[in-house]
Amino acid sequence: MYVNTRSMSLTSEAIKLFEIARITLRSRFRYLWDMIGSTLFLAVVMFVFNRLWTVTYASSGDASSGTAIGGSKTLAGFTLDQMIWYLVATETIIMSMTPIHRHIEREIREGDVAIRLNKPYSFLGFHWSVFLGEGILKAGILILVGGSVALLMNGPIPFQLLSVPALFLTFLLTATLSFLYGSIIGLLAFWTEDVTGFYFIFDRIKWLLGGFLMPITLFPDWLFKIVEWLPFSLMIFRPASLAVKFDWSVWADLSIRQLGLILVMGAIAQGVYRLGVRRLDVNGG
Amino acid sequence: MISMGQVIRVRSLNKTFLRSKKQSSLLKRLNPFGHVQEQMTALKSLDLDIDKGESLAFIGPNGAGKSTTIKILTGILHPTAGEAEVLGLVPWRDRIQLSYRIGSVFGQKSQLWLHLPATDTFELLSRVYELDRAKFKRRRDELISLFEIEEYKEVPVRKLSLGQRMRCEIAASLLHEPEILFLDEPTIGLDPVAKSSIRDLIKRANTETGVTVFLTSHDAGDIESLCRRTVIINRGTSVFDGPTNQLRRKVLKKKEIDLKLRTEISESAAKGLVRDGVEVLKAKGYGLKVSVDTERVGIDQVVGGLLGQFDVEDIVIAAAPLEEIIAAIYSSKDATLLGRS
Repeated sequence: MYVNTRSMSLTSEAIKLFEIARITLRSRFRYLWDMIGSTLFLAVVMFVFNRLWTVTYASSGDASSGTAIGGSKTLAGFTLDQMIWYLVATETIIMSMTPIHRHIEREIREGDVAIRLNKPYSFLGFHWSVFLGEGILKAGILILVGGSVALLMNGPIPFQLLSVPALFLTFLLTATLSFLYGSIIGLLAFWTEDVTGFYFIFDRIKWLLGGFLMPITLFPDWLFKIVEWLPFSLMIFRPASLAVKFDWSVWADLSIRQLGLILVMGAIAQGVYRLGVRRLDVNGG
Repeated sequence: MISMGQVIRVRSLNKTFLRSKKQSSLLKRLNPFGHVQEQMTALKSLDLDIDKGESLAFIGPNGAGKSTTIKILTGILHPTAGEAEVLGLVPWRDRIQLSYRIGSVFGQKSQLWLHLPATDTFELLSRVYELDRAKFKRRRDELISLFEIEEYKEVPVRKLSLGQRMRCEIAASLLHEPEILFLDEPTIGLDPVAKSSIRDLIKRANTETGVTVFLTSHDAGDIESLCRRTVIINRGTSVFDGPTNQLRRKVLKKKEIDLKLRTEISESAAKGLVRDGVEVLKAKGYGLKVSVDTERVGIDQVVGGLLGQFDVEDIVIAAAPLEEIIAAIYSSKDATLLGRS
């Protein structure tokens, strides 16, 4: 045996997770053109929403719903261009996330979990790294495709180059939240084996209340007040708004909120995993 | 407590699963609260001791509890009751610690990254097992040479044949120099040449590195060529534990004698051979085949009689193939078959 150290130190764990994310990235990179092809549908979505929002902005000129800032009409705090770029951001967030619930469910159902559990890393940590590795590549492609379409149709919006590292960090935190959300549902496969139905319901709730297709600031006041306190806006609306209207204080506030929610959801995911793995019934065993 | 030289100690290990019972009526099936669960016993009071450096075949029919045992011993499953120690650790409690010291290959599951060359997985595993860089590179090169994977080490795993992939799987599981190698049907689906080569590699790993081999397989060839000791498990409990070559002696009471004669055998001569414990299986032309029940008549007496009675050109005395013996054990409910009272 020539293992350097057996300590489960944070550094060694971080290296393992980084390497898992790196090999995922390399593995998926081999199918780069397939991935680019599969995101082309985003161009169609962008075109349709561009037409819809253009008509909406043109017809809503009253003071209650639209105000003029710097010569541009705003709706729910967004100009038309910002609204289109907001859509690029939400589509990037949603479409870059792999269906982690399905991966975990399949591993538990088909017994592949045996391969994960006999390695010196955390089961959830492994999947998180794979999720991020794949998510980063997909997000890059989606920004490229969606951004190109938005640029052609609406032109650029003001953007600070210095905000890129901060936004990358926000993407990682947002992806982590989505990962935990999906993996908690996926881990229910320890009990029920088929979690697709659960996930469908919870995913659509996230879309609707998280502000996927439209900012939650467009909701009626009473609904906005409720939705604002729900965790879903931290997974879609707030990071997407930050991307189109970057502000350092908003970024700091969002990061703290996201980290807090990650701690809570991480504890729930770990708890569900620990309970579930005790009753694991690996197929073929 | 595990003793010196021992790597695995199992006492009264039990594992039961709850499975949904299929409902007979459609109404009951549609009722979400009407699911009935039944208890399935996978392991029942299993005892097992394995010493360092042993090569053990752990065999049994489908559903006998082989994979469940491997998964408990590697920390994947929690038992319902009983004790198990692997290298002094409790597998399900000390799973991470144990994983540094054991390797495993599941014939139907791959640990390799399908779209990348096997060497990329080796590189990842070196990080996962926190291996020293220089020693890892030396070990990797040794395994690449030992397993003869040099020519396809840079080919994506999905493009490899099953035999080539299995070589890479086993090499990957040996990278961190485990003390025990768990192999769950490593030759499943392989052609005879690939099987033979995989067996040879496992054997070399066992003899050259001293790794303890714990093998489950349905293939008698794997067992015969790799394992000096065999444990047969059926219905969750051990029904045989002893040297592999003893399996034949204990179980096989019949031998077949195949003779090639210099003169044609007559029907009356063939009939004359039949006696208590001797049965004529074939008597035609120059060929004669008889079956001898060695519990009722000595093989030496029968062979002596045949050689005295006929002008024999060639003689072959064969035991039944191990596969037949194992099949007989699986299908037998009679404990005396294994010499047990």
